[in-house]
Amino acid sequence: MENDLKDALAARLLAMGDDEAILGHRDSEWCGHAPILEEDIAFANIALDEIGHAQVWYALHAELLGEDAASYPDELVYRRSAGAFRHAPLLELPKGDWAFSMLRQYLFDLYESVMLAKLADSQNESIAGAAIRIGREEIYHRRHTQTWVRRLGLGTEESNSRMQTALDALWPHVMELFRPLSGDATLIEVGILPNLGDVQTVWEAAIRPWLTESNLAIPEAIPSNYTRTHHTKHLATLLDDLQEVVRLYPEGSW
Amino acid sequence: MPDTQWPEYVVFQQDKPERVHHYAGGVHAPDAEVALLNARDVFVRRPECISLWVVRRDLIFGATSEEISLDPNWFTQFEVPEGRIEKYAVFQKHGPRGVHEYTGTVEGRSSRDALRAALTVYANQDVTVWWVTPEEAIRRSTSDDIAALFAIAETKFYRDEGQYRTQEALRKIKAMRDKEQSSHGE
Repeated sequence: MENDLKDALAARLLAMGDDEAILGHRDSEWCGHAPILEEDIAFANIALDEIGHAQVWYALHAELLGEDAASYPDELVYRRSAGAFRHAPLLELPKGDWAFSMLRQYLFDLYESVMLAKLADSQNESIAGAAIRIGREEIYHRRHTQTWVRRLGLGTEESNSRMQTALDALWPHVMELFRPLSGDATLIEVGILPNLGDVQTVWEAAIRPWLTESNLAIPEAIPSNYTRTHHTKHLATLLDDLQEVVRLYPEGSW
Repeated sequence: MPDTQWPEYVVFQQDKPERVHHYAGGVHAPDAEVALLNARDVFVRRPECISLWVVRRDLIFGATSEEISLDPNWFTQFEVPEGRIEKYAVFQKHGPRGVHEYTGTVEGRSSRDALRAALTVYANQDVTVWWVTPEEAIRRSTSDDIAALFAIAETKFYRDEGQYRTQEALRKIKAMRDKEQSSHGE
């Protein structure tokens, strides 16, 4: 593989792994705190799934770099500084209330479903295989989150207003998912990665009617200035928590 | 204490095509669709399952064989409403350790009426507790649900709790602490 293609692919795989790992971590913060026991179990399941998906992408990233696929993901998650993470900043925002976390999960689930469906046809066989495997789990995520978006949107005055507040806060960040990395054009050219503009078109066609029918008004938001290489202040706080034990005991093993 | 949570739904699970649906437990949910998703999360992540039914617990009418046999008027003294005839699903529990299993359907004008019909149809069976519920009250998973709800559990990698060896680790930590404490005492 040519070097610039390899670098581009490594960067994209890292971004996909980081998306899943950071969202999975934010979701896991609900463990023991969800509004009802059944939802606590459901959301913990989703958090675990996302972290599992991160491992899949990280493993492909590691293989490409000639690193150990089993141990390298830990290095990536526990020993990188904030500036090296490549997820969409949308996913690092604090978990907020239940409406915020549920809506963010839905926005991402739908993005991921569209992305995975297209990646299933990727010219890179490892990516295509992983996309098919991960896509099977995303069917359930999407069903769970879209069910709740609909119910909270159409529920009480309070649930609707919380959802609307969440949507107003999240919507400026959604474009972060679709902004290409510098090497993406190379990957799109050789059919490894779909055109992110196409992903966005499919995503919007699905998400807009669902939100509107859930009695939520889609804001005319100005896109955030944050990107996969320019994060909010919340990432550092998140990593303080996530990496706390490793920083205290750098040589610890478990 | 009153239950301030959402209504409780009883969950019935089918493990294999040749097996009947059996009682799995209960979940709270605001409606049947969410109950089905919650049932999947609580009961189906690990074991094999091909179908789930959920039904609101307050729509299940139950009676033990003992209370029926002790009441000489059980079969006769109750009012049957004029209403339409409905189909009811019948569940039987055999013995104190058994769980309710789907038995079949009967028709009735009320739950009590349906249970009387069930007692007649399944008269010679050794049943500990009977349940009947209107067929219409049951939300069933469909073949469209298989991919989203059940198929993923088959291929999912997971560890049983024993594989984490936390007990072993805790014993080691405790032994270390005991040793430290005894050396401090010296």
